[in-house]
Amino acid sequence: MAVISDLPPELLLQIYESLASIDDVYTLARCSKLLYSIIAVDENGCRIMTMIIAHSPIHRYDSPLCQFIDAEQRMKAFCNSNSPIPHFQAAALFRRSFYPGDESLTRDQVWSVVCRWKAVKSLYLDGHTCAKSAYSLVRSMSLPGDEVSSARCCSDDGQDDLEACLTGMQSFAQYYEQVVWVKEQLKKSQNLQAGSPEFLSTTKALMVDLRICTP
Amino acid sequence: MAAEKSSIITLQSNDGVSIDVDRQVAERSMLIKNMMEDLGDEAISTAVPIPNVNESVLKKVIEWCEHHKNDPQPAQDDDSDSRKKTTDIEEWDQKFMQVDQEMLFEIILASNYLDIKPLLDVGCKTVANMIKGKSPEEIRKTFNITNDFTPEEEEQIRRENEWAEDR
Repeated sequence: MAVISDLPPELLLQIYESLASIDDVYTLARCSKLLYSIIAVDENGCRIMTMIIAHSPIHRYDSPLCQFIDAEQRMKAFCNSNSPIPHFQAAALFRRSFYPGDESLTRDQVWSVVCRWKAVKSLYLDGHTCAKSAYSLVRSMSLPGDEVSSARCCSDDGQDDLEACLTGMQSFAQYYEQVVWVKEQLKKSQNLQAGSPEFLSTTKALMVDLRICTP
Repeated sequence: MAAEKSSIITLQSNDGVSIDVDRQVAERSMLIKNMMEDLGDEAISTAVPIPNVNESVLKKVIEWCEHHKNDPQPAQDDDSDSRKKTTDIEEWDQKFMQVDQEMLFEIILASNYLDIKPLLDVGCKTVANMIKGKSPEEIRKTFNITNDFTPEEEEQIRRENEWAEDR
C-alpha cells in the first residue's frame, strides 16, 4: 500500500502548495532528502510560497503591501524625474494597493513576503513567553480593522495565542510601515510641489484613503 | 444526450473486479470523460480497465464521484485558481477522508491518474492538515518517513531555516 514517498514529485509539490504556512514548508523540507529535493528547485519554492501567500489568512495584507511598496517606488521615480505628477495618477498608484486586482506577485515580491514573515517572527517572537507578552500588547493596541477582534476571539490555548499574535503583530508591523512611508511621501510631495495646493489635497485625500487620518 | 447521461459504464479495477457506474458519475474523471468522447458508444459496451487502481480504492473514488456528480466541472486550465482561495475542506469531504493513511495516499494517486482534480485537491489538503504545526520529528513519525540526512546535512538545513526551528 502507498506511503508518502510513493507520491511522484508533482504530487508532493501539490501537498507543499496546500500547506497552511511558510513555516510548515520549511519543517516538511527538513524531514527527508526526497521532501527537501522538492523545494530545493527554486521555481518550486517560489510557486509554493505564492500559493501559500494567496490562501493563508495570515498573509492577506501582504499582497496589498507589495502593491503599496511598488506604488511608493513608482512615486519616487516620478518625483525624481522632476516632472509634476498628475494627481489622479498618484492616487491611482496607491489605490491599486487597496483594491488590488488579480495580478499575481512577482518572484521578488514573493520572497520579500517570506523575508518579512521571517523578520516579524524573530523580531517579536523570541519564544513563547515573548509571544504571550506580545499578544497582550496586541490586545491592548487599537489596531484598525478586524485583526484585533479576531485576536480577542481566541481561546487561551497557547497555539491559538501564538497564531493570533502573529496575525496581529504582522498586520501591525505592516500598518506601521505604511504610516512611515506615507508620511515620507507626503513630506517629499510638499517639498517638490510647494505652491501646488491641489497636489497637497490629493495626498491628504490619500491619507484619508489609507485610514491614517480622519477627514 | 439525455440518454447518454443516464447510461451505465463498467469499470474494471486492476484486481479484475467489474463495477457498474453511472456515466455521469464516472465522467467526474477527466480521463474517462475524454476517453468516452474519443471512443463514443463503442466504449460503453466493454469494460474500461483502470490498471492503476484496485477494487477498494476504485469503490472509494466512485463514492466521492457519486456525491459530487452534480458539481460544476472544473475548467481545464484553472488548476491553481480554485486551490488558491482557501485551505478549507467541506464537511462531507472531511468525513470521506477519514481513512487510514495508505488509503489516503492511494486515493491521491488514483485521483491523479484518473484526473479528478477536485478530489486530488481534497487529498492534498488533508495531508497538509496532518502536517500543520508539527515538528520535523512529529511529521516523520506521522508518515513513517526515515530521516536520511546525515547529522551534518541536517544541521546545515536547520541553519538555513533557523527562524523556523523553534518547534
